[in-house]
Amino acid sequence: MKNIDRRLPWEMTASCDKQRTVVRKIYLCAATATLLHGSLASAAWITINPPPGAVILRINFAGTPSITFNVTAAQMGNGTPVAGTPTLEFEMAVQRGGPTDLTATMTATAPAALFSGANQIPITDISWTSAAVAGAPGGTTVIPNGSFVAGPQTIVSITTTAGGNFYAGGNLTFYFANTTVYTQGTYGPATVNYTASRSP
Amino acid sequence: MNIRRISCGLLLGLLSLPALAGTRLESLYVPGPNLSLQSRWLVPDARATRDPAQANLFIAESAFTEMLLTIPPAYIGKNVQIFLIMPPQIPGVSGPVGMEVEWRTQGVFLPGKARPGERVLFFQGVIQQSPLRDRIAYKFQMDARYNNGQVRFDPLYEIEQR
Repeated sequence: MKNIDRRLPWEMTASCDKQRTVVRKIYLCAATATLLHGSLASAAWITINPPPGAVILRINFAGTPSITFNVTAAQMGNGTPVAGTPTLEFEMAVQRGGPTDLTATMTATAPAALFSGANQIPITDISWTSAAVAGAPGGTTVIPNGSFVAGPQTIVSITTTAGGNFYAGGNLTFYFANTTVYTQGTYGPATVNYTASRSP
Repeated sequence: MNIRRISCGLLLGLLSLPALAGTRLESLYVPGPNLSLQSRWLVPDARATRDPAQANLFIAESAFTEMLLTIPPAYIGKNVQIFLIMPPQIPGVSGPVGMEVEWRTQGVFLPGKARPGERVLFFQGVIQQSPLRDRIAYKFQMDARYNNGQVRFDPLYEIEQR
């Protein structure tokens, strides 16, 4: 199990019978060729081992990103979600080089709340929407929308079905639910850890 | 219905044979007799925005290794051609586009490259003695989308008099 961590600090201000026939034909072709070629001389051979599987996690492709929500006094608790900035690009790449399928999972681990002194906003007030990343010829499983819970949670999981690279990702926009009036102040920062792991 | 399908398979097999089949040669690596290589991803930092034709490639390279071809007495002193033949089916590779091998030599054998099913000129000239030997370095390029495990590169060598 290999893990890759990325940290995301948070800050808030109160203002992711036909197939069998084909096989038979192939065997038949090989047997015919061998027969007509005559005796076989011994040959030196080379075995090539495929590269090991790997998982790669990227968030915005540089540094440790930070999301800020600004809520004005007039907006406070009106039930209209407030978008945080900036939108972040997430991508988990899974490389399968051998015969064994890999399952890769992106996990986020969040604290229970954002604090401002003794006051707090539960982390469940923060959610996200995900949009497909443009220009991904390798194909991408889009991260589903969701909201945070205290502790670890699965963001997205993909299983390879053949050799090669598989991806999961999305452009994530985060939202503060804004359904409750909280005491004015600056809440956070809080850190969310994202981890990509693979099995086997 | 089954008989018609089998007949079709036989016809395809016959058509895929090389037009000219020479005498097979024994080959050997020294100190070998065989080699084992570990491959690596050509592009280690895979990204969905990359061209899949590049992002899925992995390569394996060998150092220069001595290879011997045992030449039958009938061909000694004769002007001959030797061909490297890659079988159409390579263990670990599911199609002809899934693998390419390129090799360099040190002047006796000809450099070249080949894909599964191809027959490539490997030597031409007069052979004075057996075995024929040279040092050869390989570069294998494979597409992980067509890989299903350990790959075995097991070419055949055929000699013909010119």
